[in-house]
This record gives sequence, structure tokens and C-alpha cells, in this order.
Amino acid sequence: MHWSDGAIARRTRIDGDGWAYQHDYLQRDGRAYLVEWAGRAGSEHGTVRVFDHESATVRRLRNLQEWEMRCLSERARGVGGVILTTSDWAAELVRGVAFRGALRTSLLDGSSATEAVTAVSRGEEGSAS
Amino acid sequence: MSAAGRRPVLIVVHQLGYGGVSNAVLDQAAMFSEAGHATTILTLTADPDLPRLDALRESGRLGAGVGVRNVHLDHEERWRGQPEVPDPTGAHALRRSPGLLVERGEDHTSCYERWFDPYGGYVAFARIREDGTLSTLARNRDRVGVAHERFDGDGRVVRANEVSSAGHKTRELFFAPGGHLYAQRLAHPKTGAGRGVAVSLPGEAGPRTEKFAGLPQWHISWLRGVLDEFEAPVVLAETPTTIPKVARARRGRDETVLGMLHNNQFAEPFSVGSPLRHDHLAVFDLLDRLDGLVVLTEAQRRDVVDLGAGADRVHVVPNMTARVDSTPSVDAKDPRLVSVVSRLAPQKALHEAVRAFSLVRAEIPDARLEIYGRGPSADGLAALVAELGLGASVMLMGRTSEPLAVMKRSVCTVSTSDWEAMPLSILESAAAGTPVVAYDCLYGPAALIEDGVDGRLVPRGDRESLARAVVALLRDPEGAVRMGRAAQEKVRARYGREQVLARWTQVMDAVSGEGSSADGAVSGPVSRPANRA
Repeated sequence: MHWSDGAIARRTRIDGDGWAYQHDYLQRDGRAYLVEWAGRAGSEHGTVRVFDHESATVRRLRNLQEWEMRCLSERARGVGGVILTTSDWAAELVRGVAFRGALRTSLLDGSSATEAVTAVSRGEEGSAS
Repeated sequence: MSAAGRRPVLIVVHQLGYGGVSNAVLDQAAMFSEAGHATTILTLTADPDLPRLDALRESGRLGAGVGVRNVHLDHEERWRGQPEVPDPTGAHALRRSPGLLVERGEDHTSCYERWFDPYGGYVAFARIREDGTLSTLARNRDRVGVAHERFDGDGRVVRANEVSSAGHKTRELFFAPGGHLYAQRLAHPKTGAGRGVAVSLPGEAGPRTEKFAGLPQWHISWLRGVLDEFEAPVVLAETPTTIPKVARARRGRDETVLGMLHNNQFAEPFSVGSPLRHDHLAVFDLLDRLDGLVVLTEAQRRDVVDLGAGADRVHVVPNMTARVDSTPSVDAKDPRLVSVVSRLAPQKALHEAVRAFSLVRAEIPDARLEIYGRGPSADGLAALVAELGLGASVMLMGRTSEPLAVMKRSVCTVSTSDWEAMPLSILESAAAGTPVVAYDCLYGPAALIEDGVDGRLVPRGDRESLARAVVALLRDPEGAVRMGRAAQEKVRARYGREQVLARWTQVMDAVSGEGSSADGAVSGPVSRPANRA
């Protein structure tokens, strides 16, 4: 995948056996902001690394979903609410750390969303409207 | 004094570790040294475990009069004083390089770092010591390890391996503390088969390189040089891997070379008629280059002779125990305690002891089995204890520095090995005045135990008999102590340092052409086992 200016946005690394072992998510300057490991390495399968070039550090997260939640949480802090449309991970998101606190959340449609609403209405995590 | 009385003794063993052979070698070295032989232990391992040697020195187990030399340390030493080569593999420069991004974490082993390039490439995995220095570094390509480096406590690289995509080491690099590459072993990337060893030595006109077909040839060359430093040495090669090397290293001058078997030579099922163990084949092929072969029991001597070794060239010298404890008494015993002190290795078949103990517990519910030692079988044994619901009765205690004290307070100890040669654990238990209940494997238990007199022998694999024997001793503590005293007396009479030294002297004189005979017919402390007609 490419950015609009033609720079590579996403790249998959393939080993000599044809196995896709890593997905790179790249900035326009070619540096990675996120990598996802696939295949080999047992417990490391599916883990992601978030690159912070300023501090020259890398943070390991369990999976892409955790990164998405963290990003969403970060963005949500600056706004009044987040609307989640139907998705498989809506319930997970609502339960997750992203929505602890006073965030107002709307859920639309779907069984997982229903489950999430139920969870939230029980007051298990976060709050909803 | 015999001619052997003043000859230097060189004991060759792959490494000084924690097992029975290492303990036997340490006993021998102390014995020869105290008897006036200049004694040196020669080891070949690339990991001489210097902290272990220091600990042995500190405890007195390795006497001040006993020298230790190692092929790698000798070569490192030759580079001492040469201008240092800082960071020869570039690991530290890599760690400092700008643009490297670091993931830090901690697992059950240590702190670690993962290094990435700015474009997402996984560069290396590093283990970090508490002081922040590198301990190991595994470099990657396409998330597959391609090189591994190990560092000493000062952060200097001591070893580096390059690995092929097939997972074989293609180059093993050995570094002296000053960063000098003193040896490298090359291997085929697809098979891992060795392609030669290059050894670098400093010289006035610059380093020079000696090439060898492989590690054994390098070891042989080093051994030959060491042998040349001594006048008329007696060389004892103590493992199946060192015997062929010493046999090939000898020049046939004034040295006397004896090979020693510390283990059963038969492969599974470890009984007479089984094929020879693979690592023993070369020993038998090279018997002509030895002045003699030493085994630990008469039974093994008989079988080795039957395998084609000349009867006049196979000698029996038993293991010894240097310390015989005070006479046992019922009062000093824990009346419900049975113990094992052993390396936790498959050879020891300790699952048999655990399973048998479930039968013991059925008879005596508060009986306890304490298993001391460490090794690869530990996890399996722990799982078996849990599976059998024996958690309250069978305890894995880890390594003990006081094996005799453990044995002394036990009513009896247990030995369930699949094979042995002359197990030190039985000798030590007897020295502690505690009878052993043992599977009658080849070799050793039958040589050390007279069933019903100074211990119990049961057929190998017969758990019910093993359990019955243990139960009988637990129910008759006076009888157990009587057996313990008899075992102790036997050890004192046959396996003390003086008796074993006399036997060695006899053998050395015989192979040097000074004695009349030193074969198994010599009347000595070793007797033919009663139950092996």
C-alpha cells in the first residue's frame, strides 16, 4: 500500500520460504511507526511494536487491537464522545482500557455491541449513553 | 618406593562439572597430590566454568597442589600482553549506533533488549546483566537468528557463533579477554559437519595460524604439547571422548597412558550382549595405543575382557570415598526419611523411585522421600509427583552441599539407575552409615552391596521389591542401622584413600613393567560380587 505521494505505507516482509513474517506500517519518510509480527516465534505471533523515533524506544503490545484501542483512547481524550459502529471488537473496546473514565459511548447494532452495552450498563467498565 | 611413586600424574577429562566422573576425578587428584605426585587435571571444554573452579579451590575440594589446565585458557593466556582489540565483533558499537530503537523488558531469565532499525527491521535480541552490560546477543535476519555472541562479566565478547539458515553453526569464534580471536571452527552450513579449526597464535612477526581438521585434532595437538612438558608422566584419560585423544596424542616415549571407564560400556538395555555405546567404540578401537584400561569393578572387567580387551591389560581400581562418617545410631536418624542424592538425569531413572514410593506410602503413610540434586529430569519428576498425588511425601529439594549429612539422617537411601559403573552415591551413603536399597544394574550396586548384610539389592525395574525393602527398613530402624554400620565398615576396609592409592600404585607399576601383575587376579580390596557367578 502507498501513501498518496507514492511513498510506501504498508509493507509485508516475506522470507525465503515465502512466509509473510512481518507487516510494517510506515511513515512517509520510510521509517516504521508500527510493525506486526506474524508466523514464527510462538508466543510472539501477532504481537506489535510501536516505534517512537524521538525517544528511540519501542513498545511491545499484545496485538493490533490493543494498539487500536490505545490510539482511540488517545484521540478520545480530546473529544466529547466516540461512536462505534458495528464491529467485532466493539465489546472488547468498551471493556478495554480505552473507555475507563467518563467517556460517553454510543453503540450501534450487532450482537457484540449488544453484549458491550450490557456490560457497560452493569457498570463493569466505563459508562455509556 | 615404586617408580610410580614420584611420577607426575595428568588426569584428562572433558570438563570439571558436578557429576560423578568429576567428583571421582577430584578425589583422585587429591589422592595423587597428597601422595606426592605432581598432579594436573587437563580439561578440553570451551566453558571451563572458572567460578566453579574458584569455588572448588575455596572449599578445599581442589587442593592447592593440584594444577588445572584447559586448552582454551592456555591459548587465551598466550595472547596476554598483546595490544587489545576492542569490541572485535562490533556488538558494543552496534548498541551505541544512532537510529537504533530499543524495546526493553524482563522475563524469567533476565532483563533483555530488542534492537530495531528505524525501518522496522529486527536487528538483535540482547540479554542484559543487572549492571547494564551485555550478557548475550543474538543477531537476526528476517527474524531468524544468524549469529550469537556471549560476553564475560566485564562485557568482553568471549564466544561468537554464526548460524546458517538451516540452523547449523557455520563459524564458532573463540576470543581471548583482550579481544583476540584465538580459534575458530568452520562447519558446513547445510549439515553442520566440521570443516576445520584455525588457531591463531601471537608471534614476533605477527600472528600465525595453525590449521587442524577439527576440534579433536586441535585437542590432540595441545595434549601432545602438554605431555612433552612432563617427564615420564602417568596419563589417565577418564572419559570415552578423552581416551582416543590421549591415545593419539602420545608419542610412545616415556609416558604411561591409561584409559578409565567410569560408566557401563553397553547401550540400551545396558546389559551384557547389548551393543557398545557409540562413544565407547573408539576406545575399543584404540586399545593398542593404551598401556591399560582401568574399570571400577571386577564384573565390568570380566565383560570388557570378553569384548576383546586383553585380560592382562584391563585393571580394576574402585572409586574411593575420602570421608567416613561417625558410626550411625538410631537416635541420629529421622525415622520416616528416605533420601536420594543424585544428578536428576534419565540414567538415574528416578521416576522408578517416585513410583515405588507411592507403594511405600500405602504401607507407611508418613514416610517421606527427599530427592536432592538438579538436572534435566527435574521437571518430569515434579510432574510425576503431582500426578501421583505424592506432594506431601516426595520432595524435590534441589542441590545440597552436604550430601553426607542428608544421607546420615536418612533411614536408607535409594538407587534406581538404569546403568552405572560404581556409583559414588552408594559409596557415600555407606560412608555415612546408611544402607542403600538399589536396583541391581550394571555395574556397581552388586560390587558394593551384599544383599541383606550391608544394604538391599533388588532386580532392576522391580518396584514392588524396592518398596518392600524400603518398608522393611523403615519398620526395623535397628536393623537398618546395623546394615549401615556394616556398609561403613566395608567402605573403611576397601574404599578408603589408602587402599585405593595402593591399588593405583600397583597398576601403575604393573603397566610400567615394574610390578608382577596388576590384573584382576591381584588380591586387593576389590572382590568378585557374590551374586554374579
